Amino acid sequence: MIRTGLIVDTLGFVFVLAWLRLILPLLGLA
Amino acid sequence: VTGRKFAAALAAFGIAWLIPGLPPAQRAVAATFAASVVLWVSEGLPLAVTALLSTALLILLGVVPVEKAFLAYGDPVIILFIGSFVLAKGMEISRLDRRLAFLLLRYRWATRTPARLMLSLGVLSAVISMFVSNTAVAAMLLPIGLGLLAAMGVQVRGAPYAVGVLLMLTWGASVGGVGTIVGTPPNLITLSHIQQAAGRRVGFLEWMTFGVPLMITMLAGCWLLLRFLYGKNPPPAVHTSETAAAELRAMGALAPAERNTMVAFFTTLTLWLLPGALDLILGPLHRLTEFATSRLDAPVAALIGAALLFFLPARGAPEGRTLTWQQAATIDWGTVLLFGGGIALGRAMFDSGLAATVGRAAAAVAGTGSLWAVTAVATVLAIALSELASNTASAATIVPLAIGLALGAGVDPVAPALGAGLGASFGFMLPSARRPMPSSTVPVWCRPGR
Repeated sequence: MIRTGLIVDTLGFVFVLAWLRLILPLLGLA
Repeated sequence: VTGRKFAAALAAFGIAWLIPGLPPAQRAVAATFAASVVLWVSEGLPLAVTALLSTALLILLGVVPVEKAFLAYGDPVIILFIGSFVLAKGMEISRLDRRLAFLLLRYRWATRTPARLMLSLGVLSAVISMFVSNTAVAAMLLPIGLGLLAAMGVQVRGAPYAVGVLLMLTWGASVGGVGTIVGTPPNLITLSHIQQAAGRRVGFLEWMTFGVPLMITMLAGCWLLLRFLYGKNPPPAVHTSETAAAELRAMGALAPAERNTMVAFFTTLTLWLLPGALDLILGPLHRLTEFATSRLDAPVAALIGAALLFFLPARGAPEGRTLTWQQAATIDWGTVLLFGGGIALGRAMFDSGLAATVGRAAAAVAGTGSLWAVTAVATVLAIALSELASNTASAATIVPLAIGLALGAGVDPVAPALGAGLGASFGFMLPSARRPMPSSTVPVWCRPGR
C-alpha cells in the first residue's frame, strides 16, 4: 500500500508542477 | 502520551527561541510557529485549539497587538468558508448528493464493466467534492460503493477489486478538492496568503483553469493505476445500474428541500463564475465587469446562496425550511478556527520579517533557485507534511514558508504558494494521513484523507 501511495504522491507532484508551469504564465500569474 | 507531545512542543519552542541572530519579534514568531507545527503534526491538542493558542501566544509575546491578531479570524476567506460549508450542509441534509450519485449510476454505460464502475464512482466523488468537503463526500459515497460491491457479490475484505473501488472513491474526493477554490480548505488558505503577501487576487474561474485540468489528469492517473494494480480478475459484470435505479425509485420524487438546495447551489455557482465570465465576454474595463469584480466577491456570493436555504419554503422539512439553523450550526467550526489561527500565524511571519529571513537563509544554502525549483521544493514539502499532519494544517504551515522561500530567492511567490497549497491535498501514502472512521468495514487505506 505504501508503494501505491508513493506512486500516487509522485503522480500528484508531477501533475501539480506541470499544470502550474503550463497555465500560470498564460494567466499572467508567473 | 499527551504529556510527551506537549513536552516536544515546549522543546521546539525553546530550540527556536535560541536560534542565534534573530531579532526579538522574529524569534518569538519562530518559537510559536515551531511549537504549533509540533502540536499540529502530533495532534497533542485538537487542531483548532492549537490554532487559537498560537494566536494567544503571539499576543502574549508582544509580537502582534490584540486587535490586529484576531482580525485574521474575520478574513473574507473565512466568510467564504462558512458560506460554502452551509451550502454543502444543505446538500448533505437534503441528500441531494446521494440522488445525484444514483442519477449517474443508473445509466448502464456508467457501470457496464467493473473498470467503468470504478471510474464512474471516482468521477462522481471528484465532481461533488469540488463543492462539498472531501470527507463528507467520501462518507456519503462509501456506503453506496459498499452497497454496489455487495450487489456484485464482492467481498469487501480481501477482494482486490473492492480495495480498488474504495480507493478510487476516497482518492477521487481528495483529487476533486483541488478543482475549485472552495473544494478544500488548503485552497482557501493559499488564496488568502497570496492576496496578503503578494497582493494578487486569484478569481474563481482563474483557479479552475489550472484546478480542473489538474483534477482530470490526476483522476485519470489514479484510475489507470488502480485498474492496473487491482483490476486483475475482476468480478463478473452484473447490472449494478439496476441496483442504482431501484435506490433512486425508493427515494421517490424530488423533495422541495432538494429542489431548493439545487436552486441555492446553482445561484451561488453562477455568482462565483460571473466576474470571470464577464471579464472574458465584456473585457476587464466594462462597467458590469468592474462592478462584479469589486463587489460580487466570492464570500458575498456564498452568503447570498446560503441564505436562500433559509428562506425558500420546503414543505415536509423541519420548520418548513430547507435548512434549519440547528442543522447549519453543525458545520465544521474547528476547521474555520484552525484556518483563522493559521492565517494569523502566517501574517505574523511576514510582518515580523521571519518569512524573508527564512527565505534568505534557504536561498543562501541552496544558491539562488529558479521559480520552478522553488515551486518544486514547496510542493514536495507540502506533500510530505500532509502525510503526517492534516491537509489544512500542512497548508497553514508550508504556504507561508513557500512564499518566504520565493521572496528569499527573489522570484514571484504565486507559483510556489499554489504548489504548496495543491501539494497539501496530495498526501496519499501513510495511514496517518487518513481520517479515522467509525465504520470498521472500510480498511484504513481506503478512508478519506484528513
